[in-house]
Amino acid sequence: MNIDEAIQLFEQNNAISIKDFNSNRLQCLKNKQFLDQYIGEDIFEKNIECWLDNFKEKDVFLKLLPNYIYVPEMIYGIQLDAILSRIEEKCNMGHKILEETYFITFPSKRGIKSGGDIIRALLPIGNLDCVKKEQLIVEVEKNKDSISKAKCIVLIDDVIGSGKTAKENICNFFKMDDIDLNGKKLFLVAMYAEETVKRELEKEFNGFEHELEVIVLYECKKCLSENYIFSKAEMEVSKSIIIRAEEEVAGKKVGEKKSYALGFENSQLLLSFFYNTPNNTLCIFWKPTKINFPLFTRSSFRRPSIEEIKLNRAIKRKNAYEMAKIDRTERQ
Amino acid sequence: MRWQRLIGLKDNEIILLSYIYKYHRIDLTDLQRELDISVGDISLIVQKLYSEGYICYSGENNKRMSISVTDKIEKKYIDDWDKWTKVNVEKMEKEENFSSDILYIPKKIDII
Repeated sequence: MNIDEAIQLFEQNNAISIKDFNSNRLQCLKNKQFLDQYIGEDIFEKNIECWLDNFKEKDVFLKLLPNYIYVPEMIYGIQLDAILSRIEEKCNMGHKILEETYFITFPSKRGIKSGGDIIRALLPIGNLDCVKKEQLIVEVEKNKDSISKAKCIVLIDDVIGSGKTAKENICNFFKMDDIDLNGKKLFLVAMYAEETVKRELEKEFNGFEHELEVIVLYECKKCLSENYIFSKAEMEVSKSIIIRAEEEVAGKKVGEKKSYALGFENSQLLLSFFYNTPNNTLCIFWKPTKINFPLFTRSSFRRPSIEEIKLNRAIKRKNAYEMAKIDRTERQ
Repeated sequence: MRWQRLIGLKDNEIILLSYIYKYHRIDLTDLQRELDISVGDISLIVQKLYSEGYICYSGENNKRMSISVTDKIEKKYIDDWDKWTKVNVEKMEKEENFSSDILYIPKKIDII
């Protein structure tokens, strides 16, 4: 497989066309493309070449690319709408139920930007008639009263990798005695989750006092599962090559405490969103090091350049001037 | 500004309306670069514009891609997205390259 074929399969499997994206805003305006920092047609192929230069066994790593899941902003929005449709169906009360549904996102442990921020921002855009800002909650403690009025409560996240964070958050939620959950529909929803983790969570929540249904829009497979990306014959060699590269980039062995080799908690996902890459993805895709130029760098490794900051300042100044110009024209 | 006070909208709301007028959708990545505010703040402005009747959905299917500006605002204020956007980055860069901080003194100044 060469790079062109890999990109073609990547496009097919993700139902996107690289030609629709560009990392440059000016080009986006000229060519009617969508802005994307990862898969813009101006950067994607070159970035793949640079990324492959990190490895001797290029064929093995290139084979991962067609199975990589990438979610651009427009598809992310469509998937959020699909989740709401599923909830409507499950509740069997029509579109009205969404007006009485509260969406709780999981807060980021370090208080930095998380998938929850994007969900709370994008979810209402396609549902302005039924989802209001009051229904989007990040801190349950401060919103107990409004949550108590809900008919349906949805705990929502972009991805469930190891399941640890989801379990922890659900347990904390159920520990709050002063929220009356009787008669309320409860859901744990994720756009993506590893298939075995989903089943484990379902089992775990089965014994809970209140019924909690797990909805996963797309189930992912661990990338080193047999006969998924690599055949049985290829598996042994490919697996050892990938593990070696992962451990080198992560700086820790697979299974070691806080190791990102093969993704956090050995999640083995191949997944990125337009705003970030979850740490459950193989770290060769997101962790920049002296020996690794990643394709989908995690946002915590990126900083705005002086040029970007200067440009933003110039943009604001110019817009203030344009606003004042309208005033002058109006008076004439 | 007087005209803004009259129509009761802030800068970012007007810029957002002109974006919706042109594209009929919200692209947070693009708008974040344009407005330099968080995605959460952009979403709140969109929600406010909807609740105050400045925008609506023009179709039942794929609502995200069919957001329209209502007649509540005169189109003359929002019909030129290109005026706001930094899409004119190229132009701006050229302007920046032109150094204008040198005082020009004509050689025959004493004759003048």
